[in-house]
Order: sequence, then C-alpha cells, then structure tokens
Amino acid sequence: MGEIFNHLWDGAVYALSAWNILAIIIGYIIGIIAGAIPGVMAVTAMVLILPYTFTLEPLFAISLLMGIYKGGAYAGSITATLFNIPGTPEAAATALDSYPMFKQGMQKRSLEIALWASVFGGTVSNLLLVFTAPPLAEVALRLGPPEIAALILFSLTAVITLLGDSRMDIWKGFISITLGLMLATVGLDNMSASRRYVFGIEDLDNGVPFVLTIIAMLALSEVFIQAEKVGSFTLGDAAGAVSRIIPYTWKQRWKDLKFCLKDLIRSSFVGSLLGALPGIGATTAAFVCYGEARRSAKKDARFGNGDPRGIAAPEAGNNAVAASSLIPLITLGIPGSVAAAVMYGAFMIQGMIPGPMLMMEHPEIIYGLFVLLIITDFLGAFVVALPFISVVQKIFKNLNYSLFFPGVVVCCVVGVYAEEFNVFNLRIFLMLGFVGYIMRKMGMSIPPFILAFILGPILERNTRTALLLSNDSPMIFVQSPIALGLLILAVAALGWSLWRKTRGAKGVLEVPEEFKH
Amino acid sequence: MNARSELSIAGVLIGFSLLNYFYLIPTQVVAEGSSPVYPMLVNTMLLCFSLAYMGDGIRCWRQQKKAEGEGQACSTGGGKVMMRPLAMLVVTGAWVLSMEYLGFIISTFVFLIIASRIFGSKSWSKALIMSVAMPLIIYFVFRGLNALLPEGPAEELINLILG
Repeated sequence: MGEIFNHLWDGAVYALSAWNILAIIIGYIIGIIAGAIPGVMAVTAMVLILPYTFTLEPLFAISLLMGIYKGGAYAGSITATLFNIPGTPEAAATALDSYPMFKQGMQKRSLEIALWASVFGGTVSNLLLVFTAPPLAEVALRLGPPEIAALILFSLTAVITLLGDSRMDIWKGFISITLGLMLATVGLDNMSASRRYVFGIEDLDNGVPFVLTIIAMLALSEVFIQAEKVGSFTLGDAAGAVSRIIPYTWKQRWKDLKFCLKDLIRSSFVGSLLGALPGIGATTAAFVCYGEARRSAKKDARFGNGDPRGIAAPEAGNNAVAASSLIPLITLGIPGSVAAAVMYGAFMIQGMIPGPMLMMEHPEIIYGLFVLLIITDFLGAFVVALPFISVVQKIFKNLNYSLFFPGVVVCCVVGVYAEEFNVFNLRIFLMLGFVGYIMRKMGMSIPPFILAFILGPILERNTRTALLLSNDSPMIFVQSPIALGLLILAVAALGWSLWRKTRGAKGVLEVPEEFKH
Repeated sequence: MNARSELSIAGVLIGFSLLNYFYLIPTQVVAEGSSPVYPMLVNTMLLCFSLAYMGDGIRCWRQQKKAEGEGQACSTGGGKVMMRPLAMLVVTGAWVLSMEYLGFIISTFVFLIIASRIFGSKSWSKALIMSVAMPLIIYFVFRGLNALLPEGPAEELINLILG
C-alpha cells in the first residue's frame, strides 16, 4: 500500500503540469459539447481527435482524451434535463427524473445533483482503479498464453450473455464478435508474415487500420442512422414551459446529499464493478443503478416525478464506469470498452503498449494518468461544467443538424486520411461505415465487433503460441486451472443466459431497445 | 424486422461462412503460405452461431405463422434501409473517389452542399458559407502542418497565389 502512495507521488510530480491541466480542461469542454449533442457521443469525439494526437506529448494526449470521456459522461444529462433529449444513451436514465424536476422549476437542483453525483461516482471509480490495478497487474504478469486467450474469450462472451432480451440477441452478438475477429485476420499473419485475405492489394498488407475501423463503425454508421431521423429533432416545450426558477440553497444541497448518499455509494460501486467487466458500458450501468435505486426505495418514493435519487443513482453509476473500464486495459492490456479501445489506440500511437509491463517499467506514466484522472472529475465539474451549462443550452438551441452531420463526415474522412495519407483507406472506411450501418439495422451491436477486432490479434497470437507450446494439443487450455476456469465460466454464462431466455426472462441488465446500439 | 428477414440474414451468413471454408481460406490463406487453423476456427464459430440464429429464426417464423394476425415479430433489430442513408453513402463515395482528381477543396465543397440538402437544410446561405469555410480552414491547417491533402485545381491556384 505504501508503495502505491509513493508511486502516486512520483506520478503527480511527473504529470501535474500546466499543459496537462489545460489538456483536461480542453478535453472536458469538447466532451461536454459532444456529449450534449444527441447522435454524437464522447467516444465519437475521442475517435475523431485520436488521429491528431500523434503529434502531442503522451500524457497531454491521454489527458485530452480522458477529459473528453469524462466531460461526455456528464454532458448527456444537461440536454436530458433541459429538453428531455438525452445527449448520450446513458443520460436517458437520468432524464426520467431530471426532466420532471426541471419542469417543476428546479433547474439548478437537477443539474447540480447530476453534477456532484458524477463527481462522486467518478472519484470512487478512480480510487478503485488506483488501488486494484497494481495487484492485478502483478497477477497478470503470471498469465501465460492459454490463460490470456481464455480470458479474452471470457471477456467477449460475458458482454453478450449479460445483455439482450432474447436468444436471437445472443446469436447476433456472437456473430458480431466473430465478424470482428475475422476482420482482424486481414493482412499479414502476425506469426508467419504471410498474407491473408488481401486479394492481391498491397495496401491491405498491414491489415485494416484500427482508427479507421473505429471511426467507420461508430461515427460514420451513426451519421447514416441520423440521416434516417432528419426532421425528427425537436426541442421540448421545456424552454418556455417553466415560468419560475426555484433557487437551490446550501441547506437543500446538504439535505439532498444526505438523502441520496446510500444510493450514491451503491451506484458508484455497482457502476465501477460493471465498468470493469469487459463490454458493459455506461448505458447499462446507468439503467441498472436506476433500477436498483427504485427497487430499494420505499413505496412512497417519487421516481419518475423528480426524485433526486432518480438523478443521483444513474449519474453516479454511469460516471463510475469511466475509470473502472480502464482496469482491464492497464492491468492486462485488454480494452474492455470502446472508450478503453480508443485509449488503447492513443497509447499505441504514442509508442506504448498498455499492460502489466508498462506498469512495471514506466510506473510514473501510469500513476501520472491516475492522478490526472482524479483531478479531471473535480476540475472538469467545478471549473468547466458549471459555467458551461448555459453555453450548452445556446449551442443546442442553435445547432443546425443539417450542417452539423455533413461536417462530422468531413472530420471523419480527414481524420482517416491523416493517419496514413492514403486515399485507398477512404474506400475501406466507406465500406466499413456502410457495413456498420447495415449491422445496426439488422440489430447487431457494434461495440462487441470493435472489441473483437482489437482483441483478435492478441487472441490469435496467444492461441497459436499456446498450441505451439503444446505441440498443437488443445489440452493445454484444460491443463491450466485458470484457463479452464475461465472457459467453464464462459460456457456457463452462455448456458445460463440461453436457459433464461428460453424461459422468457428479460435480460439481466435491462436497457431500452433504442439505446442498445 | 420480421422472421423472414432474420432467416434471410442467417442464410447469407451461412453462405458466407461456407464460401470462406471452400474458397476464401484455400485461395487467400493457404495459397499464400499461412496457417489456416485460426481462420478455420473463427469461421467455424461464425457458422455455428449463424446456424443457431437460423434455428431460432425458423422457430420464430413458425410461431408467427401459428399466431397469424395476433403476434408481433419475435425478432429484434431495426428495419428497412432508408433512402437518405443510401443517398449519403453514394454522395460520400462520390466525394472520396473524386477527391484524387478534383482535389480536396472543390470535392469537399460540392459534398457539403449536397450532403446538407440530404440532411434537410433549408438555408442555402448557411450551407454555402460552411461549404466554403470548412474545406478552406482544414486545407490551411494541414498546409500549416506541412501535410498534404489531395491536390486539384483550387489547391494549385492557392499555391500559385501564395507562391
């Protein structure tokens, strides 16, 4: 424990500079603007900025991206509160109570509850990351190829089996994963350097670029989805409907904090745990925390009519996901969420490979990141978010979607082109964007595809190494207790989920259909 | 999405995995000197899950037939592909393909004008301002970073003016 505090001190000395703090502020501003705009999420903004981080200092780049992520995590609740239009899917849970509270004239109260709940959840999650990452990294160093391959398979299985309302959701999820694994095999074989699936095109020798794939599957497909909704963005009557604004006193703040404290603590831990599990995002965490808060409340609770716990619980839960989703990335080198995958890309662009070795060899970088994460929540919330609420209101009211989304496409294309200055990549980008759109129309989730695409090369390398070590005998996966345990867990999770769906039970982690993709 | 669409998709996926087994892996993997073990493993997973998907699709279709007139679709997913996204795809494709020949500025200008119409822009002046300003700003930012975007007549004219 003492060593952790020593490392934190070294990290703080290394990381705390005016530039890195500026990066957090700029990132938080970008995240707030991106998160407040429906159809654009913090991850989209991260993906668009990613190619440009090549020229930046490592901690500056990573602070910028973390600021965007954290800012976006809070920002969706701003438009959810003011207009009943969640800027991010996870904010839909917040809107259930924040909008009714706003309509009762308590605008300041609803926005501030969301804000300090975000800070609370984010801080708990940051501390969990700081204190669990080092021991987990030590364990990770002892994992061999069969264990790592089994862990990746378990990670990819877990997300599919926990979500979804029907058996078809499970099959589609697995199909999405296998398509991602297949795309990852395009290019040179990473063990024999011979070509695979390049069809004679030399530009494909290095495979499909990671940044291109993420931008195409997330951002471009989203633009196509938004094109279907042209004309359907309308503001609620909220802006004109509220005739008075009730002040929010310090006494009321303290009273609300005490009232919501139990839900805040529970939601922060639940969100942190869910965030650490691969593939489970902020949306799921937000709805699970809202559901739990509602279930544990007394019968006279006012959920759905402006209950402060209905705002605090989902906000704490969804913000707690941000830091804990970095746990598998930092300790094992396995990104467990799309945002973590983008961070993985940011590390790679800077020439660093996240994982236990980076933690052992360059602890100042990792602990510096931890310190910056802890600061981001407070700095972002109280220095940026509060003043920015009125700016977001103005942007949202004046935003012209018919110009905005074409602009997003231009940013995407320029970002993809800037990675390798190769026009051929733009054609792949377009194809993948359309494939992403078709997959979403077919009800197939994109995040598992992206996770599988990123984890595919690691899975392949470890699977083939394990088979080489065992002279092609698959028994190596059974002989290792950890690998066997993980494989059994993966199969058991699948079996249990199929059994539940056959009985007609809903998904364990309920998320409304429109927020799933 | 109805059960018939789900079955069609499952059929396409099964067809693709069979194509992979019998044509793509032999010609694009083995023939290039690479080991087929891992691609076969992944392809087998795709085939198994696609068969399971088809199995559930058939079950769903039978249920729908039995409960004709009263049942909802027991499947998941969105629905039909709409015209605007297809139009965006075509326009974006045309832009990407033309960029090499027309250069970044002119091709992006035309793209933004058309794309804003697809997205329902009613204001020609705002669309025009954005279509001129955005490519120029991006071009000069890249120029300042000594990075080249695809060049065409507009870029050559700028180079001539600025020297």
